[in-house]
Order: sequence, then structure tokens, then C-alpha cells
Amino acid sequence: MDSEWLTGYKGGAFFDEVFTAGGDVRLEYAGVVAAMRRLKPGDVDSRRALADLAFRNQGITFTVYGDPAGTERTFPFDVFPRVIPAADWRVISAGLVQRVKALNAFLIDVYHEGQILHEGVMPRALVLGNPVFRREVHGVAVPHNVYTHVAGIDIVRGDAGEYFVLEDNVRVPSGASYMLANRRVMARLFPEIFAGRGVELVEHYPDLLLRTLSSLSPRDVERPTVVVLTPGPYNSAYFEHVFLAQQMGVELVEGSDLYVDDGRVWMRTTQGRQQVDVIYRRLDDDFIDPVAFRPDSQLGVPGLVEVYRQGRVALANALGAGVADDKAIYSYVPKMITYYLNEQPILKNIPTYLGAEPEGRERIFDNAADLVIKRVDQSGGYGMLIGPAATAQERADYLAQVQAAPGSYIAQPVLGLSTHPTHAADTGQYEPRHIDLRPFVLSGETVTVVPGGLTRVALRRGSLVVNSSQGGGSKDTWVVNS
Amino acid sequence: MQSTLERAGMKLSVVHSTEYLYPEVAHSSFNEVWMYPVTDERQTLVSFSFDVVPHVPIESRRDFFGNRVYFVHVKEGHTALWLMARSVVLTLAMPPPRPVLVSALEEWRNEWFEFLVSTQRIPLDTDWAAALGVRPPAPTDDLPLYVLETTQQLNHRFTYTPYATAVDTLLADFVQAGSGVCQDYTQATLAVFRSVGIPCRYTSGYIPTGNGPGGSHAWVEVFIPGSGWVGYDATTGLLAGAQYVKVAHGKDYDDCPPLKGLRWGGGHETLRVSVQVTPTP
Amino acid sequence: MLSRIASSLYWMGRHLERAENTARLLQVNSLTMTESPVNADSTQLVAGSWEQLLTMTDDRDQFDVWYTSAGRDEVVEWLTAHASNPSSVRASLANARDNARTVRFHINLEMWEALNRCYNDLRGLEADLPSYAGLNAYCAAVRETTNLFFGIAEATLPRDEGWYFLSLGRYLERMDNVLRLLFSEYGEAPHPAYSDSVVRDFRSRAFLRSVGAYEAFRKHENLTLDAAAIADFLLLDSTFPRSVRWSAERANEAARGIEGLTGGSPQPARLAGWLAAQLEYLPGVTQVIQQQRPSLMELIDAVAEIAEKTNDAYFQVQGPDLLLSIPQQQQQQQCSPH
Repeated sequence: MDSEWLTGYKGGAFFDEVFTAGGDVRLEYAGVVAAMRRLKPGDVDSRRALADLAFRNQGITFTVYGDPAGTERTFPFDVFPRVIPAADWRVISAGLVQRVKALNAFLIDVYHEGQILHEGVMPRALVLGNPVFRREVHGVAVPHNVYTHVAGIDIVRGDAGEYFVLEDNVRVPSGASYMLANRRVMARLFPEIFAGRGVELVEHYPDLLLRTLSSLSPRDVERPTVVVLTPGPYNSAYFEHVFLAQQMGVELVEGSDLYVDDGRVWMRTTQGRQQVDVIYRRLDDDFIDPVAFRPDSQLGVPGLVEVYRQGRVALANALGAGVADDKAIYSYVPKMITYYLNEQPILKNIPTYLGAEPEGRERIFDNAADLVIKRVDQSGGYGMLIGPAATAQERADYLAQVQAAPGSYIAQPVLGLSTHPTHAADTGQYEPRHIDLRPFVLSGETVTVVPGGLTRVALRRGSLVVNSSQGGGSKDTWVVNS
Repeated sequence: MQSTLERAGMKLSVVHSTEYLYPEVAHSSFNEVWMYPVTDERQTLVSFSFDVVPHVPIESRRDFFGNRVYFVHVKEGHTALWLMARSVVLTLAMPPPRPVLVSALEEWRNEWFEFLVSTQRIPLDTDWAAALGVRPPAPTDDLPLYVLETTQQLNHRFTYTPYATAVDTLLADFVQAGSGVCQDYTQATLAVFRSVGIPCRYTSGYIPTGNGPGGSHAWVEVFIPGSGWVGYDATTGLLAGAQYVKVAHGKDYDDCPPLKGLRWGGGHETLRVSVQVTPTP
Repeated sequence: MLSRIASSLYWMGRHLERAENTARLLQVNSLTMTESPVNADSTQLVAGSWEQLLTMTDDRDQFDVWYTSAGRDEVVEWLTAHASNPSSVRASLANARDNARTVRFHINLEMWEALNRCYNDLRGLEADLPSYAGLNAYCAAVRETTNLFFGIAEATLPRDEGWYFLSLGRYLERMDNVLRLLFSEYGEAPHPAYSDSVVRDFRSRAFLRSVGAYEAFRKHENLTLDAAAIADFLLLDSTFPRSVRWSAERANEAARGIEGLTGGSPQPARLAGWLAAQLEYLPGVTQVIQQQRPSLMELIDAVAEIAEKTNDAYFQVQGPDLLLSIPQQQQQQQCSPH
């Protein structure tokens, strides 16, 4: 590129991360834009091509579900980084810590005394009737009283640039590996734009993760045996499982590598069996133990849940955490913050209407054309209806489903997500694309937020869907200390 | 006024033997067992022993409903698995529940919503009360009376027939055929009460039967505001009395079966169960 | 190292070695057919040769279930891609690819891509197998892939447990394959001695080529193509990488390497060492072929035993088998005696 880079940029009707409404570059981006403009023409493009190669060579790929040739795709990467002003990050970070603390307080409560339910702050049915509320682990003690050791809290910005929490992901949140890979590639390919900018590090994430996991060990040994449990190479996030296991220097296991004996979990190695203390499990509760959950699952470890109940193995994230992941429960998180922490929520929720509640149901049916309607139990952009973008017939069909099972749906006003200049393959120009942010919060003895996180971008013009399997990409995310 | 005779209880001794015989070697099995009688206002567990052959370490915990569950993991190859539970309990004859209006249930439905929802065994996609000719209660009806009358109605409706059904017989099939045993009667009763909004739970345990050795039994506990959970038995058409030994409760059989497990290998097993329930002086 | 990973690397070595050897056999045999002498003796030569490949690969019984005759097309189809042949080239590559997927991050990207590409390409090449050029292209593609794969492995893999398991699998398979070839040629049913020396020598050269040994043998012994000399070379030569003795020494090294790194059972290494020593100290091939002390079959069994002990020691750590689980029958609450 050159000094002309981005000068023709046309923002849309949405809040743009880089440009103000008047077309000026925001303060936090001044340095980056200037540095990019100092590069030689064509440099950005050629380095962009190199980035893709770099990802492939490092195996940073994912398999697309259903592709029989087993081809591996790289998660598209856009070289223009997203920068979060330090002042904004301070607030976001504090808000994330507060939110995760509240979620854990909620989980320890509903799996033990259930005070929040007894006192009627949240409806019993919503929690105890939730299919992912796991009675099987009710009453079980968890180390540090934490359930969500790794949390990915998705954040978006609205029309005026204000931050909202879009979704809490506390079951098996993924993306940390891309956050790390993006930074590595950016640093290698664009060293000059980093120089002297004071970008906060993210590369210590695997160390933090390992420390967090190790702190959960039931055995008080110097080097607890931590493993990453993966469903296997056919899982779309397999690369991340491999990557994190390698970075932490721990074994990557599948269910068949482990077995239960003597009330403990063991790993099958060429040196005989080795006891396992902590399992960072990247597989959902349903599949983790055929004795306790789905008996047809061959991905898990028979008898694991009993060992967990007896406190002889730790699981991260804890079993049953999924009840905090649910979109209907999401609408109560601000209440959790006030109830458990006696504080006002720092980060705002998006107003949410629950199909489970009569007023919410009415709202949904009356305003379907202006709302985003989602199933409470799905993620990744699947199973949702974007009211204004749908035809009347599509809305009618969807509402019929809602009518059949209203408790399974919630709706939110359509949020005009912020945009970020992103390279468009067809025009070769930088155009506005919607983005979100997934910061990662680690909870062990303490709660830590890694600066920045994964910025996901919807690559298709006009699309709001940022998920990788549906045409999303990502950007490096900077928090600049100031 | 309760006479000492009415408040009299019983002392009962239970011996429950479960034996699996495998034609091929079973490599490993994981089993959860609900055979430990409760202690509550109606019943006190005096003694309990639980033995398993092959001798393996046994873990124990309390489940979500407060039942004691044993976890039996047999890891070595075996061709037979034998579990023996022996207990002695003291029971009291509880006074009948105090009268209360059906409308009193309204403020309790949230608290006990779990005992009002569909389960896999007892799906509420059908109006079971209507299907079985049971009229729904009016808000001004006396709840305990309604429950007792309905229990009696169901008792007359069905015919007690051993071997007409199996442990996995569907509720709908039993209702249509009309013949079965206490597990079926209990599931049908739960279906009826739940479809008219009365919280009730599946209760598993034992009962002496006449002069015979007695057996593994199931009945219903209904929530009566002011009296708590009260046992009703459609198999007899009566309130659950002092001769009932309670082991566990849940939403349905799947929450508290005597044994639930998974194994690898073994082939097509034979299951032999024998239960003796004897009143002792 | 996880048993599953070790096992996958070991089997990857075996499957790829098998695919390579089968491809070489087919390729050489096809060339032999085109070039073979045309006299009366050779008609039998032509008819017999494709069928002989089946005895070399120990497949005959299974083959007979599917085919009534053993001509070129039948044998080629069976050995390359028949769905019921677990040792076919296609099956071997598919298995190797599955193994590679399991150990994807213990091998490097190029090794994985080579296998994956080959597996996908072969499907297209199968259509041309009936032609000479088609079969040649198919076999060449397989051999290029295995060469590339092991070449990159040699150059990039650290010499850890993983490397030794990969090697052990490869060399056990090599020994097995060469021993079977020797057995089919010199074992129980030796071929009729061809009176015509042209035909005899032609056959000897073809035999050597099918093991990739012609040039090496020529360097070692350039005067004769005597059957005993060939057998001696293929069984006992200490420098030729396809000889059974050389492979036994590499297998022994691998087994010792594994034992050293894991502190595991000494059995596999002991058996591998014994086999290597036997081959080193044999006075000559006649002791094996004529006197059968040990016989070729016994040597094949010895290799199989090393494989079995390796499996027992490293891949089968105590634990429940991976069969489907069966729910325990439940008891109905009947309140009456059963």
C-alpha cells in the first residue's frame, strides 16, 4: 500500500471502528494507519498472501464439516488489526471480571443451596428445567468454587459505539488459538507497525491456562498431570485442541486413551498407565461419559463422572456449566451481578425478550420484523431469524416453530454491529465489515482477562454472521497501553 | 385424636438379591444402585448392608433428590454379578393428610415444577386424565379426598397381572391394555395427576405381600399442602401405610431404578431377582 | 507417548511399506510380462506369473472367493483396489492416511499432505488400471509418495519413541514381505527348473527387480544369476537395505530404542535381537532353504512374534475393550415373587 491507502474508504450507516462519522481516523488508529501507509505499494497485499501460507504451514486450519476430501481450510485472516483504546479496555476488562465472578457465583449457588431460586430472583423452572442443568453433579464440590475456568464473553458495539455483551460462552469456548496465531503472524509479517506502539502481549495465554488448570488438581503434587481431551480429528476445532496442548506441553488425548480404575482416571501410555489429575475437556457434557450421560457416546470415558463427583479428577470447564451459557439465562446476568456481588453491572446486556415469559412472547410475535429471534440452546449463528432481513413467509414459518416451543426462543432488537475496514477479495478494496470481540477470561484462584481477544469479522458484504463455518474471518486485536 | 394403635408402626426386614449371569465374559461394568432405604418422618433405617460379588470397592453419594446411590465398578472379567442389599427399617403409620383445597396448590407449582413436567417415560402430550376417565379437580375440591378417590378409581380400572408388561413397557400401551403391575399403575397415576396439575413423584421401595415373600414395589407420593408428600398406592387403592418401605423417589423410574448400568461384553445376560420383605416383631 | 499414537505410527510404517512393496511387485511384473521371451517355455511363464503374485502376498484363499481365474486383470484389481482385500494398495494407503490423521501433529505438514494427495489422486488413477500405462502410472504414484514420506521422515523427525515405532513397523513389514517372496520362490513348492538359461536368467532378473534388488545384486555378484546366490543375498546380505538381515538389524535398533526410552518390556527387543543374531551367524542360505534350520516359515513366524509382543507391551495397556456398551437389564417393580 501507500499513502493513498484507505483514503477512499466509505463507511456505512454503522459505527465504524476506525473512522469517525466525519471521515477522520480515530486517535487510537492514527499510528497503525500511518505505519501501514509507510509501507511500499503492494507490500500489504503480498504480505497478506504470505499470512495465509504461514497459517497453513503451521497447521492452523480447520476441517469444514461434511467435506469428504478432508481438505483443511485456513480461517481467513485480515491484516488490518483492530485496536481497542486503553480506556475502553479498562472498563471492558473490569466488566468481564465482574460478569464471570457473577456467573460462577450463580453456578455454585444453583448446584448447591439454590438461594437465588428460593428467593424468587430467578424462576426455578428456567434453571432447574433447563436441559443442560446437570442434576448428576448437583452438590458436587468444585475447586476454588469455579465452574467456568475458560470463558469467552462475546462483545459487540452499537450505533453510538457503546459496548454490549452479546453472549456468554462457558461450555467449551473456542478461538484462543486463533487469537495467538493471529498475533504471531502479524508480528512476523508486519514488525514495523508494532514497533514502539506498546501492544499488550497475549502470548502468555498458554502459560496462564496451564497454571489455571494445574491449580485445580486434587492431588497435591509438583507437576499435576493435565491433559486436553478432544473428540478427535473430525471435530472442526481440532486444530485448537492440538495447538493448546502443544503450547502447554501436555498430552492431547481422546476418550479411548483414558479409563477409570480404582476410582481414578488413567492414561494409556507406552510406559504403562499414568494417573490423570486435570482434564481440559473440549467435549460437551452429553458425550463425556456414557454411564452418566448419553450411553451411545464413544467419545468419552466410562465412569468419569463418578470419579469427578468423588473429587479425584478435575474437569475444566466443570460439568453443568452450560446452564449459564443459555440465552434465556443470559437475560438474568445483570440481576446475578446485583444479587451476588452487590454491584451495578459494568457491561450492558442487549435487551432480551424471553419466549418463556408471557410478555416476552407477545413482544416476539408483535415485532418479529424488527427483532433477531434465536433458539436458546444454539450458537454459532445457527437456528436464528434476522427479522428485517427475512421475507414475510420466512418469518411466518419461524414463528410457527416459536409457537410450538416458546420456551426455547428469545429475541433481541437488531443491533447494528460496528464495522471495521476489511479487505474485500472481489474489489481489492478495504470495505466496512461487521465485527465482534471474544475476550478470554481465565478463572482459577484468581480471575484474569487476556488483553484483547479474538476479533471475528463477517466477510460477506452486509452479513452479520461472524462464525468461521459460515464465512467469517478474524483480525489481530490490540490493546495498547497508554 | 390418634390412638396408639393408629400410630403403631412396623419393623420390617428386607433382603433384595440381584444376580446377573453372563454367557460370555463381561469385561467391565459400571452400575448405579438405589437400594438404600430412607430415613424420614415416616421411616427410620435401623441397619443396612450391601454386598457385591465380585468384591469391588463401592462408592456412595446422594443424588439430586437426596437418595443414597451406590456406584459399583467391576473392572475385571466376570461371568456373574451378584448384589445383595439387606436392611431393617422401623416405620410409622402416618395420620391421614389434613383437608385442604385443590386451589392451595397454586403457590406450590413453581416449587415442585419438576414433578409436573413431562419425562421420557411419562410424556404429557396426552390428556391422561381424560384418557382414563378421571375428572379434573375443581379448585374447591378437597385435595386429599380427590387424590384418594382417583387412586381408587385407577385401582379398579386396571387389572393386576404379573408378566403382562416388562420394565420398559410404554405408558400408552399399558393404558390401552389395562393389565400390568405396580410400576405401570404408578406411572399411570403420575400421568393422571400431572396432567391435572398435581405435583407427584415416583416412589420406589418394598412391601410385604400377604403371606408370600413380598416384593419390590412402586407407588406415588403426592404433595398435599399442609401435610407434605403423602403416599398413595393405585395397586391397592389405599394410602401408603406402615408396611411400605421407601427407598427412593424421583420424577419416574429412571431417576431411581434399583439398578442402572452399562457393561462391555457379557453377551445376552440372565437377570434373577429375589426380594423378601418380612415383618419382624 | 500415548499408546494410541505409538500404535498409529507403527501401523503407518507397516501400511506404507506394504503399499510400496505391492506397488513395486505389480509394476515389475507388468514390465516382465511385456518383455518376456516368446518361446514355448515362456507361455507358461506368462500364464503363471500373475498368479504367483498371490502366493507372495498370502492372499490366495480370499482371492478365490471373488475370482475364478488369476489373470492379469483379476490379480491387478485384487491387489490394487478390491474392497475385500485388506492388504490392497488402496486399503493400505487409506489405513496409513487414517493413522496419519491420528498422529497429524507428530509428523509434519508435507508428510500429511503427500499421503492425503496420493489417496485422493489414486481414486482417479484406478480407472486406467486395465492399461499398461495406467498400471505403471498408478504404481509409480504410490512409490513416489512412500519415498517422499519416508524421506521427509528421515530428514525431519526427531529420533524419539515416535520415530522408533514408525521404523519398527516399517522394517517388520519389510522382513515379512521379503521372506514371503523368498518362500514363494524357494519354499515349499519351488518352480520347475527352466532348462532354457535365457528364460532362467530372465526370471531371476525379474525376481530381483520385484524386490528392488537387481542393481545391488549385480554390484555384489556380477558373474552369475544363480538361485542360491540370489537367495543368500536377499536373506543375509549385510549392506543391502532390503535384505532380511539388514532389516532385522534396523528392527532390532528400533526395538531397543523403544525399550530404552520407555523402560518397558524387554521382550520385543530380545526377540528382535535374537532374530538379527541368527541371521548374522547363519553360515549360508542352504541351511535355511535346504536344511530348514530355521525354515523360511519359522523366520516369518519369528517376525510375527516380535509384532505380537510389541502390541502386548505397548499398545494394550490394561483397560476395558472398545466394544459397544450394553445397558444392564433392569428389574421391573412388580411387588410379587419373580
